Amino acid sequence: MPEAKPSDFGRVWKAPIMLGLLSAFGLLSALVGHGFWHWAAWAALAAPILAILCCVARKKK
Amino acid sequence: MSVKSWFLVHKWTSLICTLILLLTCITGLPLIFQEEIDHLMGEVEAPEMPADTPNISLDHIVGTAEVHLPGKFVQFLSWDNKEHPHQVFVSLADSRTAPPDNNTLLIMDSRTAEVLEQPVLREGFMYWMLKLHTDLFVGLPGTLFIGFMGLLFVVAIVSGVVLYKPFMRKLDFGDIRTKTPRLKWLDIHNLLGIATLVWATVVGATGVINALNLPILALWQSDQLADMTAPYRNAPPLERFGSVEAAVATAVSAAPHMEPSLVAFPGTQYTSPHHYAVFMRGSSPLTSKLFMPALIDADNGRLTDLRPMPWYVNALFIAVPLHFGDYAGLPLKILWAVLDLITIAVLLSGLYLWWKRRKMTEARVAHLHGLNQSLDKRSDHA
Repeated sequence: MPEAKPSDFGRVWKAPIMLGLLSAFGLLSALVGHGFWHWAAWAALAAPILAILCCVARKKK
Repeated sequence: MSVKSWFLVHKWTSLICTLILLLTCITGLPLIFQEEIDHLMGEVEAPEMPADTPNISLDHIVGTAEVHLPGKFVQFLSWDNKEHPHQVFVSLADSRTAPPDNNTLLIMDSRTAEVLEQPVLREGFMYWMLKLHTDLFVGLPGTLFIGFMGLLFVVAIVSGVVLYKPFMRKLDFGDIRTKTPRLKWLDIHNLLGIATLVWATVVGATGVINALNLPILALWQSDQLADMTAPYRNAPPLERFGSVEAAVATAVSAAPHMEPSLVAFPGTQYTSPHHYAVFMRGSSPLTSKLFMPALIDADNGRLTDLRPMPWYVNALFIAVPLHFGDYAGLPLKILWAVLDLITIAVLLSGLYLWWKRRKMTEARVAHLHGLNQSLDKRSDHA
């Protein structure tokens, strides 16, 4: 198996880490705040769903 | 661990938990909207009265409830002022110490002690969903079994994350190959799984914590509760209980920035045989989920102790909203439902991939077998 290039890590993990951080932020912000924090939570937790929709829409390779 | 071992971990933990996980995902879907469904089914509401109408004494509520259901005893009083203003939920059982599994509920007006409704529990669609989701109709063993499946689910997620990299070596995030159905579903499985990773892990892990509800309660009973009520260990059982109204007032003055959410009567699971436990909650979004029991001597009405719950009970309290998704209005519930549907898609596509792979392996084995046989034949002829 060829050794992974350092840039490989970023290429593979950048999007998952972003979505993971957004999800975690969304899950917690609604737990500790009202009002604005609820909106922030909705937006952040919608991110993984939107990302999936975008990928499915562009499909094909 | 090698990729191959991780693959085996992923395959077996997923295979074992998939059926139960599908069941919990499907039954969980309507449960997310329990409040809305209750509301649509026409919940009872307290009648309009002037806003400053005072509440009647809780002792009067308890007396009225026990007259309304002769032979039953009040075990718990609770409130949900936000969703159900001016209502007291009164839970009664056949004895003071009976486990609450078969309790009868009365919804009463907090201002008049009028019985508004005796809701039918333990039947109907939502009850079935709840039982299938939480204990498969067999109580604690069922709950622990589902909890263990949840644990396998978390292991399956972790191993899935480890496998994500080798599978994505030549692909960009979200690439879906369409060359064969198997490749397409493999890429979709990986995309849906990795995108919903944190949500699925949190809901899975908090589900496991929720499944440990009774063991956590037992731990608290033998640990902090026993410690707080140690001086009462050898006290004779109470003939009759003092005023619950006074007990709640004592609790409120001991924790002035909190409000009572539940009173457990002496002899029930949440307190000692000699105490009212008044569970107080804070007013901020977070502290309103962390209940703190004030133990009130049910004989003389004095405060015995008021302590924050130990970490493992607070972990359970936090795990409840994080599992239910009911802490930020309807939009969060809708997101919860969509993420739940995505999880169902991950489970089904995983099952499909396993099936396809098995077929491919079988075909390959058959092919090799055939090859061997023809080679054997050839060597026979030679």
